[in-house]
Amino acid sequence: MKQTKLILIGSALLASSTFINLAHATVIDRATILANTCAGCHGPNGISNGPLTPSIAGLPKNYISESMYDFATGKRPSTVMQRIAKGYTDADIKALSDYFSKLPKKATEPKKTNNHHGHNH
Amino acid sequence: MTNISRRDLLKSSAVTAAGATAGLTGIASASNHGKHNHSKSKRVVIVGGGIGGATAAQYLKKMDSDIDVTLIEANKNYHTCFMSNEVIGGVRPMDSIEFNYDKLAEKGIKVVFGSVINIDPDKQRVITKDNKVFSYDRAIVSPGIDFKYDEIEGYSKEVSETSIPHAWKAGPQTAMLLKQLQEMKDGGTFVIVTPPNPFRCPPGPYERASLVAAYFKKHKPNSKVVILDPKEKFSKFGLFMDGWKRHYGYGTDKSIITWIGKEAGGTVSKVDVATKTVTAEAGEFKADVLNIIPPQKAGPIAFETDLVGDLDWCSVDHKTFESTIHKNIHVIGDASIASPMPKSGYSANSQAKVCAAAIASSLNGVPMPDPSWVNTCYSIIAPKDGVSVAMVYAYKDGKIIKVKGSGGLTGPYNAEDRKREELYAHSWFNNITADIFG
Repeated sequence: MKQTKLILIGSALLASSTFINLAHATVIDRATILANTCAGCHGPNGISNGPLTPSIAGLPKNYISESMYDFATGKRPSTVMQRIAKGYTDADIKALSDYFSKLPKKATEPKKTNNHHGHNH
Repeated sequence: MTNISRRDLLKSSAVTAAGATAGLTGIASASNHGKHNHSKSKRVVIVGGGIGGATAAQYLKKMDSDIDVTLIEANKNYHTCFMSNEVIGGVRPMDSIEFNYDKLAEKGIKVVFGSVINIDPDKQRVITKDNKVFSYDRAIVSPGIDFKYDEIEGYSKEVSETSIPHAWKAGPQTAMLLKQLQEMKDGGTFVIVTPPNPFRCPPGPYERASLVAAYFKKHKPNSKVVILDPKEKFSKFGLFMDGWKRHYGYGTDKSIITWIGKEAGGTVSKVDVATKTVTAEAGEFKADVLNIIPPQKAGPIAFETDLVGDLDWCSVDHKTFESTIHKNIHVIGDASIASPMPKSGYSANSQAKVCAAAIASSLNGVPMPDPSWVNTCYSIIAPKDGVSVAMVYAYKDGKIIKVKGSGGLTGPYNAEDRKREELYAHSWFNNITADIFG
């Protein structure tokens, strides 16, 4: 799992650790918390099951952030995202863009989403 | 469950590991070094496998696969309430809203089918009807809603199961209402009695009226829909009124839909079951098909465990969803008081993730970042006419707040946008159910 990181404790630490040699640390960051809220519409891990809402996993970071700003200002026409995009700070948008840009796209291309004309949701 | 607690087992295995001279052999599931001296045991028991409970199970495992997650649910299959109005309107098959827990079990979630009869907040354990005991470090209670049947004289659980469905929990109730509407003769009247606030899915009764009206318009053009409402306004009021005018002649003497609000006498006090006649302040209304959606409260286990205090719903900490009455028990979804968030499926899904993050953080002794929530509720007014209300929520001064400037309703009618919103509604359904049950 992406959020779960196994950390091997070095031997120096081992000496001072009573009996735990392999520690497990869970990282729950703000980006994960923010990104979790997107799954309802855009699909688990940013991969949409369609028919219309697009996948957002693996999109270029700048494209995601630019889209968010353009939805918020209305520069890019939309129905739902113009209302959602206004809910985030610059830091939030940076965190979200970074998070989704690093997620893998599905191995097989998801269903075509008919949104190639600049009019998005 | 065994009588030996996992904590004891972990202790003994840790001692064994300490005795061993080999290097990296430990299998401890929680960090126990450093400044945080937290429990090694990470058992979470979830009561209720609806939208909130199933989402919480998935995200706890996703955030920390070492958490021992048990999900206890009464039924092997779950029918989503959302999109059940499309089933009732005859445009969606019943099996498309049916889900099961196979994928959750594959991911290592212990899925138990049973009815929880007691939660002991002191001994931190959950007991089922067949006397199984589940000890927890944290419990999540996601019981959904229950009905106050007796607030409408003559109505009862038995009546709802035999002749007058509420269809406000999907499944057999949905099937019953669908069958009655399909068997109704043309020229009949469908009466919907709606509940007072707060209730599950605020725009739901009005979407139901819309989709049944669409079915009548196409298949039974002389039939009518009457909505009896104890409220003067409802969710997406303007959008529904506008849509009803465009599609169903609302406001004319040919209108398929009649809405009688509070001031016009829409509050219903009584039902005569045999004749399907309800008594409202405005008078008696005889239905051919009658749908009573009663006033609501949190699901039974919330009352059994006294998570409600003097209220009908469960008061919770807005950052963690931990009960303000019982420590280490968290309540999410419709049963929780998470206002300004509505009691919706998306809210429950969003709250479950925040709750899972709070619990995973706490059990691992790491800080919980500021939470964030989203709600988007779609309603279909007619085929190719979808609308929505959306909101982004943040945490401020101990409370969930609406992020200023965000959210709101679908704008004025635009055919292309409405068509898209219906497809977004269906996308949302496909994606949120994949998120919950996939």
